[in-house]
Amino acid sequence: MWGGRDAKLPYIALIAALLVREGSHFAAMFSTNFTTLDWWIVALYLSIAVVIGVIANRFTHSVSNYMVGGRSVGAALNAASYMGTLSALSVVMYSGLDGFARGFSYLAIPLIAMTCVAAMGITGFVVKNLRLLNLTTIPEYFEVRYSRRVRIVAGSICATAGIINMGLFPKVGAIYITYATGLASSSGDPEFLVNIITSALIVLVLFYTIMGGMVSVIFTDFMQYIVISVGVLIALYFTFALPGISWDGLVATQVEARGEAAFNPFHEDSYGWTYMIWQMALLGTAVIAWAPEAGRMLTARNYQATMRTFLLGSPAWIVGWGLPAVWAIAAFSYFAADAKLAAYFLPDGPGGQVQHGLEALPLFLGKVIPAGMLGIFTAGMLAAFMSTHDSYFLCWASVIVRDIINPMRSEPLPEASQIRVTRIIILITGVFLLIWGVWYELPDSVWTYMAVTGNIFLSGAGVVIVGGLYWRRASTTGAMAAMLVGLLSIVGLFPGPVQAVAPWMTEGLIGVSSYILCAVTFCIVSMLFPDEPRITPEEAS
Amino acid sequence: MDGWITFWKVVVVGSTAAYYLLAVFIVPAAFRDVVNLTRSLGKPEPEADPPGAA
Repeated sequence: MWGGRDAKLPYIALIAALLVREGSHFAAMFSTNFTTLDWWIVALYLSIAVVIGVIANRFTHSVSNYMVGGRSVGAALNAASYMGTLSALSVVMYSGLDGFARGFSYLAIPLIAMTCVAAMGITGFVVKNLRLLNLTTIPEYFEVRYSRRVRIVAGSICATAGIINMGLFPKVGAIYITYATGLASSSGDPEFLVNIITSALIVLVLFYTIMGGMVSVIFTDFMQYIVISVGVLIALYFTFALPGISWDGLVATQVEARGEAAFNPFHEDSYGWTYMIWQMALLGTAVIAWAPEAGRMLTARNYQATMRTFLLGSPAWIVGWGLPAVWAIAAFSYFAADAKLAAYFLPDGPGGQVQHGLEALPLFLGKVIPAGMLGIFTAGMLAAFMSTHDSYFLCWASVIVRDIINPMRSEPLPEASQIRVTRIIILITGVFLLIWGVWYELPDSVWTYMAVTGNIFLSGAGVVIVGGLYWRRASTTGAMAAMLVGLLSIVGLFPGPVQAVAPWMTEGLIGVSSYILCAVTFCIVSMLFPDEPRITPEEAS
Repeated sequence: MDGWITFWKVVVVGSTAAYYLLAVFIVPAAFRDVVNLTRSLGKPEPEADPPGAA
C-alpha cells in the first residue's frame, strides 16, 4: 500500500507543479497596474460622494424637491447630470463587449441615440410638450392624456421592466472591478470578494439616494460627470500612447479579422438591417420614455432648459457609449499581438468567435493605465456605477409611489408619507439587486438583455406618448391595448421556442415586430373604440 | 468600406471634440446652477394660510 502511494508521489508532484505553473500563468495574465494608492483614491472619492449626498438632504422639504429637484434646475447643471446618468459602468461593459466582438459597427447604436436626442433638443419634439405639463414622472402623462387606469398599468409595466433591466448592473460592475484592479490574479475566489465589494457599493448608493433624493442625485451626478470626463481623457491618452496602437492600426486589425462587417452595421455578418431598425425604434422611444434619462426633462427649470439639456447632452452618447467600444477595439489589437492573451480571448484566431468578452476591456485598461491614474479612472467608473444606480433607484421608486400606489388610493398619500414610502421601496429594490445582481447568471449578450427588458415598456409607451401628443383620435382603450401588447416583447428574452417554430425570427425581427404590433394595435383600437367627447365646464353650464 | 472607416473616424473625433468643447462652458455654468438651486431649495416652502386668514 505504502509502496503504491510512493509510486504516485511523482505524479502528484508533477500535477501540483503544473497547477502552480498554471496559477502563476493566470496571475501574470490577469495582473494589472492597480496598487494600494489607487484603492485610496477610490475610497476618497466614495467618501466625498456620500458626504455630498448627506448634505443634499438639507434641501429636501417636499415631494417636488425629492423627486424632481423642485423643477428648478438650470440647463447646464441638468445637462451635466443627464450626462452623468448616461455614462454608466454597465454601459461601458456591454459597449466594451460589443466593441470587442463586433468592432466599429457597434458605434451605430450610440450614434442613433445621439441623433435622436440632438433632434429633440433642436426641435422640442415630444420633450417640450411633456415638460409643459409639469409632470413628476413620465407615466403621470398617461393619466393626464388618457385615464388613471392607463397610468397604473403603464406605471406597473414601467417599474417592473426598469427594475429587471437594472438587475444585471451590479454583476457587470463586479466583473469590471475584478479584472481592472487585478483581484482576479491575487484572490482564490475573486468573484466572491468582488460581489461583497459591489454589495457594499449598493449599500452606499442606497444610503445617499434615500437620504437626499433627486437633489443629491443631481449634485453627485454633476461631480461624477466631471470625474468621468477626466477619466475618459486619461484612458484615451494611455490607450493611444501604447506602442503599435493607433487609429489606423486598429482599423487595419479589424479589416484583417472581420472585413467590412467590422465597420458596416447593416452587413449580414454584423448586426444586420432588422436589428438596426429595432435599435432605431428602441432608442428613439427610450430618449422620451425611459424614465431615468427622460426624467431629466422634468427636472429642468422650463421647457427651454429641457431642450438645451438634450442638445448639450447629445455628444455624451458617443463619449459614454462609443468610446468604451473604441477602447475594446484597441484591446482586440493588443490581445491579438500577445500569444497568451490571444489564446484566452481569441482561441480561434482574430477572425473567430471571441471568448470571455466582458473581461477584455477592464483587463486591458488595468494593464495600460499606470498606477495612480488607474485609481482616478476607476473612481470615474465607480462614479458611473453610482450615478446610474442612484438615478434608477429614485426613478423606479417614484414611479411605484406616484403612478401605482397613489392613483389606487381615494386620496394621495401625504407628502411626508410619499417620501417615506419612496425610501422604503428604494431599500427593497436594493435588496432585490443584491440577490439578483450577485447570483443571477449573465446571459451571452448583455446589451440584448437590456434592450429586450426595455422593450417591454418602450414598445407600448413610445407609441402611446407620441400618439397622445400628436394624434387627436388616440383613445384610452387604444393606449391600454398597446401597453398590454408591448408585454409580448418579453418573448425576446426566450427566443429559442420562437425560433424553433420560425427560424427566420431573429432577435432584431422580434424587437421590430413588437413596435409594429403596438403601433397597429394602438391605431386600430383607437379608431374602433374612441373616447367619449370631453365636456368642458363652459359647455356643461 | 473606406467610406465607413472615414465616417466612424469623423463621428468619434467630432463628437468627442464637441463633448469637451461644451464641457468648458457647461462646468462653470453648472456650478452657478448649483448655487442658484441650493438658494432656491434652501428656503423652506411657505406654509399654507391658516383658515380664516384674509
